[in-house]
Amino acid sequence: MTVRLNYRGQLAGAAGRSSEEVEADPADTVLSLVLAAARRAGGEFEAMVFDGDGAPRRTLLVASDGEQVVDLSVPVGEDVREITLMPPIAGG
Amino acid sequence: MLSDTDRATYEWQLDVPGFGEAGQAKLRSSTALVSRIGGLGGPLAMSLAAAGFGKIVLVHRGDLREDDLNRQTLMARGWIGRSRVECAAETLRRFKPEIEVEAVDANFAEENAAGLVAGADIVFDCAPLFEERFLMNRECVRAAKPLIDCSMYAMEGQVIPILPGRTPCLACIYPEAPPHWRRRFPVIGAVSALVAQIGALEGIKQVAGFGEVAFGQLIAVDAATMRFDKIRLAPRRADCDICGDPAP
Ligand SMILES: [Zn+2]
Repeated sequence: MTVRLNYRGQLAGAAGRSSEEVEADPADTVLSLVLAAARRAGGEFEAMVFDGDGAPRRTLLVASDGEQVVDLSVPVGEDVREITLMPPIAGG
Repeated sequence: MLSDTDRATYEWQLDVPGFGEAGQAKLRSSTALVSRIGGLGGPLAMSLAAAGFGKIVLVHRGDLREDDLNRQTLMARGWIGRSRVECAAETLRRFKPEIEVEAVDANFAEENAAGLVAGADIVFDCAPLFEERFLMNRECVRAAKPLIDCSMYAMEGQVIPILPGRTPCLACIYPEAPPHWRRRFPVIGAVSALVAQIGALEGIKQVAGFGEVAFGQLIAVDAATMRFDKIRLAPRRADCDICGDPAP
């Protein structure tokens, strides 16, 4: 199935795009999709999403079809259309 | 109780379904605190004044610079070098002399946080630094005051309405400051003003008691595509340092 990954805030700049479509299996974890995205984008994107120990940053908000996902080890599931990665922003 | 001036001034919004005289009276007797009067906080404060809040407290340290003028619409070119918060207060007072406007030429900090929040019925967070945002969040949780967290970056904006004890607080959502945030952010004034209006409306609805405030949700707008989303946030974290349950 095809899943759209959305990148918000500074992540869009680091990825060089605000979204991309990837092929995924319903049993794939959310983390595996995030990890693959970080590997593709590399550099700044990877550093914004994962900490020095390779763990997802606690500041990264991940949403699957409009619902925040806290435990990224869950499967993406069968009906998911898009996963959004949102780093915190504070412009005012 | 509305005065004759109030009735005349707010005649058109008294007709908004669910708002009416009761909503107007609640705004009239309420104090809003707006931290940072930049491209977001300025238009937000203006809309609170337009709606008829009785008192607005503006918090912002620093003088107006030329590069503020692409977004800070309460300012004027001739005011460059003047205290920004005093300029903002002057604009609001000229617009609505009957509203009490207090200008605090300081940023939200440990020394003034508790006092500022204690005097407010609702707090609007428009600060460009996470340290200030987290401090404001902590004080609002301590004082059980509603907080409307408003932020933007480039063509995007986010508004998170927070009701301490009921919704996740800012620290539940972001347990620490992101290491990659930079004080200087890309901004077009129309985007910060757009986010300001969403934040102002959430606060107006909360205080006046009508409509549905998006508590427990993050309102996200992408002005590049004009896409609006509401992200349903996970429940309040029991282990949150700020609003979590006390250790047994
Ligand atoms: Zn919390």
